[in-house]
Amino acid sequence: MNNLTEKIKALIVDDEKGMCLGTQRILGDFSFPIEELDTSVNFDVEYVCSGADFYKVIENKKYDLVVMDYKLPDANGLELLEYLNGKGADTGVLMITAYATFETAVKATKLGAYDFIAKPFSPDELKYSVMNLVKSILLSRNVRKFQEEKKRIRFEFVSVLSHELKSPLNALEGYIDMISRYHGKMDDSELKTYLERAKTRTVSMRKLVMDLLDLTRFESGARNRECVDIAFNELVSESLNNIREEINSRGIAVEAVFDAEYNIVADRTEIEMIVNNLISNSVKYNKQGGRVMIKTENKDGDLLCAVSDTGIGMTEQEQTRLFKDFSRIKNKDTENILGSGLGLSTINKIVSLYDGEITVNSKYGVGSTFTVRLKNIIKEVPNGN
Amino acid sequence: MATKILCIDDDQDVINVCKKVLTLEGYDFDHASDGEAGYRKAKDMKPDLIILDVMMGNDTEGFHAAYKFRQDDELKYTPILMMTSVNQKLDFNFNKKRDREFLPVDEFLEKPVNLDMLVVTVKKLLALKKEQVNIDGSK
Ligand SMILES: Nc1ncnc2c1ncn2[C@@H]1O[C@H](COP(=O)(O)OP(=O)(O)OP(=O)(O)O)[C@@H](O)[C@H]1O
Ligand SMILES: [Mg+2]
Repeated sequence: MNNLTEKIKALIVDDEKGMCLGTQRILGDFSFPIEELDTSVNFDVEYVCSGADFYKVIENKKYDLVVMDYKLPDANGLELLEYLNGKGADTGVLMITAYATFETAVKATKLGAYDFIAKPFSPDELKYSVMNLVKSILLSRNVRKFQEEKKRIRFEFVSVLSHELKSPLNALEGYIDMISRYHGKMDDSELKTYLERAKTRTVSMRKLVMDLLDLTRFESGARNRECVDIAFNELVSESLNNIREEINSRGIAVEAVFDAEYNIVADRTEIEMIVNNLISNSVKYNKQGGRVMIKTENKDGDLLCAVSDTGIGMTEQEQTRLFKDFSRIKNKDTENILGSGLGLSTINKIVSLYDGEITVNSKYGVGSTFTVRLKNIIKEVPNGN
Repeated sequence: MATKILCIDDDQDVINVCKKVLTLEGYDFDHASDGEAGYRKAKDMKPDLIILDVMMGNDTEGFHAAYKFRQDDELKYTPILMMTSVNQKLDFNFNKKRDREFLPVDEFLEKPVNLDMLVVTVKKLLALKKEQVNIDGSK
């Protein structure tokens, strides 16, 4: 059950050597689990017997835990605590005191001592206090790590996004600049071509903004998910009808194979996003007169939906970055195809909500198959056997 | 024979603008949309100047392309004008003085490129003598 062990570096500060040795032995044998972190804790214990030695050892080593006697011959606990804080150490302090007055307790707590324990104490009392202290240190470290990771991901997202927004602006500014300086040297048809390109970039920038809204709505959980009965085959047909015009104008033949009626229980918008995006890709990245094939299957209650095309395909290297936000493959075949590079990454996120997966199988110049597997969402298979 | 410029950028519209402007300015213009294709084209046409986008398919493609040109005996002394738009994405600003120390390119222009600057810079780089070209990031 416990995958990890965390070795806590502990330091005991007490002028009675017997106390040090006793505490060292107790903690040395002590180990406990922290379920929230799926980890178990044990200790690596050192001790020093004076304030002077304390200052020496903490110069060279970071400790997770300090168990210190409040009253030392050459220093008092508050001073040491203050010094530890000054170094910005991420250390939990357990203060041992024979006569904790209310004031020292308040003062020490303000300085970051997490707990007190009065002399004399039993091994169990010590263990209990240490356990609580270590738990709170490790949990707050974990929260911090998580928040930093979240910040990093967000920074990266915003950086890529700003790049994606700057590119069309650069293009537009280039056209505007060029036309205002050189229009006298261009004929009308040229001008028209450039203006059309400029228009295309604004359209795709708008689409990017809209897709981005969709994506963040899913990610933030701002949308209320609602699981309803969906006739999957019908949903696929509707999705095809939505882009019928494009299918026809590009002479693409579509074939949908359902070996049964599939009724699923899921959020309609989410399933539509998946199907629309896959079908739209299979048409967009197809060749003139190509084929699209949609195949649905029941695999032990999981819905398997594969969308294949005879389009431009992708190299293996290109396939590795498909599911990242904003990832688009740029080459001669795709340069005139509009897209935000968010379709597949959005699908990927939705699919994970269903504990499912999306896989790709593609060959450059030949075609691609995207297969989505949604766990356990098929409700019934009428006349299935 | 007209002066030849090769522009390597993965944005078709940037290419369109450079092509029109530089053609009107009297240069022969050709283009490629990634580092690999750009290198092949350069070997073929032997341009007098290469305009290179810093960030194409992946974040460092432009840098790699620049190094590759400098390692090629035929292309080594071709001036390179690098177009950048990465200040935000890579979390650092291009600093000409500093980056010339490790990047073997001759000039940087930040996107969106001011077209007057483009024309002026192109002229300036085309006038460089062989020994003035920044072949190893030392100039
Ligand atoms: N069926 C396909 N055949 C070939 N390439 C594909 C196919 N589907 C996706 N791709 C490639 O993967 C990239 C990412 O696809 P994705 O759907 O995420 O974005 P997009 O289609 O570019 O934009 P969006 O869907 O956000 O409008 C595409 O730009 C394209 O290069
Ligand atoms: Mg798409």
